[in-house]
Amino acid sequence: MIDDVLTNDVLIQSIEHSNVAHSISRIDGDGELTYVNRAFTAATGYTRAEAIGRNCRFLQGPGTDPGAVQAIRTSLADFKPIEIQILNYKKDGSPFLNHLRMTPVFDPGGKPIAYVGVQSDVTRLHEDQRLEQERRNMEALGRMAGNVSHEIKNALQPVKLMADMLKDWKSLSEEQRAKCIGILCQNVEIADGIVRDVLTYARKPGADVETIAVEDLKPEVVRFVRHQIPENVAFEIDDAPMPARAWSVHVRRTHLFQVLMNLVNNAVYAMEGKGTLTLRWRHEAVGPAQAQKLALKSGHHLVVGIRDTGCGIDPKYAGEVFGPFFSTKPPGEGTGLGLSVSAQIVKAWNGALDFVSTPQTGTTFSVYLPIDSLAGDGPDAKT
Amino acid sequence: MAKKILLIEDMKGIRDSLEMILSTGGYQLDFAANGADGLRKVGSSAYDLIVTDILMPEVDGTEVIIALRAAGNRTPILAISGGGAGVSADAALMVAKQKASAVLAKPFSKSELLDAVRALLS
Repeated sequence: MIDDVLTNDVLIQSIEHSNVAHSISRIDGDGELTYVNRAFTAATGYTRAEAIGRNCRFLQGPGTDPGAVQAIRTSLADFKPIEIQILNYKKDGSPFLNHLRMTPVFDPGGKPIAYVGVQSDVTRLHEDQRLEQERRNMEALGRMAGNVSHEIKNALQPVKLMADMLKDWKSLSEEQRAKCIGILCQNVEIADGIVRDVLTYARKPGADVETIAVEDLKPEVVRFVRHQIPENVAFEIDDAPMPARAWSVHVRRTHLFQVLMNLVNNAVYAMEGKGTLTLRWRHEAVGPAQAQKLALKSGHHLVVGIRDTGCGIDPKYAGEVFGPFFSTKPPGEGTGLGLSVSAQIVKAWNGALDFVSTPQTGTTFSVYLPIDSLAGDGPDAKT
Repeated sequence: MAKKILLIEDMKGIRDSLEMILSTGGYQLDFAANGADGLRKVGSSAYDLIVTDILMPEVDGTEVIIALRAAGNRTPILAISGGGAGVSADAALMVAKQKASAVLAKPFSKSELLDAVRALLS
C-alpha cells in the first residue's frame, strides 16, 4: 500500500498542493533550490522560476539575525536537521518570521542527496505572543506601581505626622522631640529602601564590585543582621571556621546588605514578628550536581544563610518565589520585588540564592558567593 | 476619664506616630498589630473609638469592621487607608454602607487626624 503511494504521484501532488510551504535544495554546489511548492510561492511572493536555481539565502534581508544564518549553515554542513525561527523577506520587501525546519534526505546507502525545507509564517503568532507578554508586563507594572505607592504612603504617614508634631516643638519635652525625630528618621529610611528596591530592579546590577576578605565581612554582616531584627525575635549565629585564611568574595557591600535586609524582613514576616532568626556563616564546597542546579561554578563558596522558625513556604509556590512581583503578602505590602531583586544581584556576582523550606517549621534562604583567594593560600591551593 | 482608643495597624511607624500624637492629645491608647488581634482586644475591653488600617495581613480592616458591626458593636470606627489613588475602594465602601464612621486617606496631617478623632468622640 505504502509502495503504491510512493510510486504514484499522489505523494507528489500532496506536497505540491499542501498549504505548508515546502522546498527541496541541492546538497552539493551552492545548495540551490530544485523544487518549491505552491504554498512556498504564495508565502514568499516569488514565482517558481524566480526561486529555483537560487540558494534560499535570497530570502534574507537587513533584519535577519546573522547568528541564525550561521546556525543553519553549520547544521547543513554537518548534514544535521535544524529547526529555527529566522526573519525572512518576501519579494515585495515585507519581512516575515519564518519557522524553518530543514532535514537532510539520505539515499538507502546513507548518502545525503537533498535537503527538505518546511516553513511556516509565524509572524502573527509571534506578534500575538509579544502583545500578550506586553499586556502581562503592563499589568504587573501597574500592580507594582500601586504597591509601591501604598508602601511609600505608609512610610510617609509617620514622617508627615512627626513633622507636624515638631512644628510645635516648643511645647514638646526633650524626650518627645527625640522620639519624634527617631520615628521620622526610621521611616525616611524605609521610604528610601522602597525606592532603592525599585531602582535596583530597573538598573543592571553587578557593577562596582569590591573584593572583601571573608573574615572582615563577617562582623559587619553579623552587626547588620542583628540591627534588622525586632526585639521579640531571638538572634543566633550558626558558624564554623573557614578552612583557610585569606579568602575573599567579590560583592558590593551595600547591595549585599540590601539582599540580607530583604531576607531578614521576609523571615521576620514569616515568623509574624516572633521566633528565632539564625544567621548561618559557612563554607561549602559546591559539587558539579549542585553547581548545575544553582547555576554556579563548582568550587568553594561562602554561604550566608538566614534561617527562620516561621510558617515556611507552601511547596506550590516553590517555583515562583524568585519571580518578579511574586508576593504572598496582602496587596500593598511589599512590592513583590525583594527576592527577585536579591536573586538578580547575587547572580551578577556569579553567586546564587537558594532556599530550603518546611511548612510550619521554617525556611532558610542561602546566599552562595564564590570564594577567591587574596593570597596564594586560597581554595585552589588547598584542593 | 481619658477617652480610650484602639489602634489596629500593622505598620510600626504609623502606630508609633499615632501614639505620640494621640497620647499627647490626652487620649489613652491601646494597640493591635493585625485584625485578629484587634478583634480579640475589642472582645475583652471597651473602647470609645477604634482606628483601623484597611490593608493588613491575615484579617484586614474591612473584615474587622464587618465582624464588629455583625456582632452589634456600635463603637465609632475611623478607617485609615492608603489605597492607590487616595482612599481605597474598600474603605470608601465601608463608609458608604455606614459601617465605618469616617475615613482618612494616608498620608493625613496631625490636624486632620485630631479633628476626625474629636468629631467622632463628641
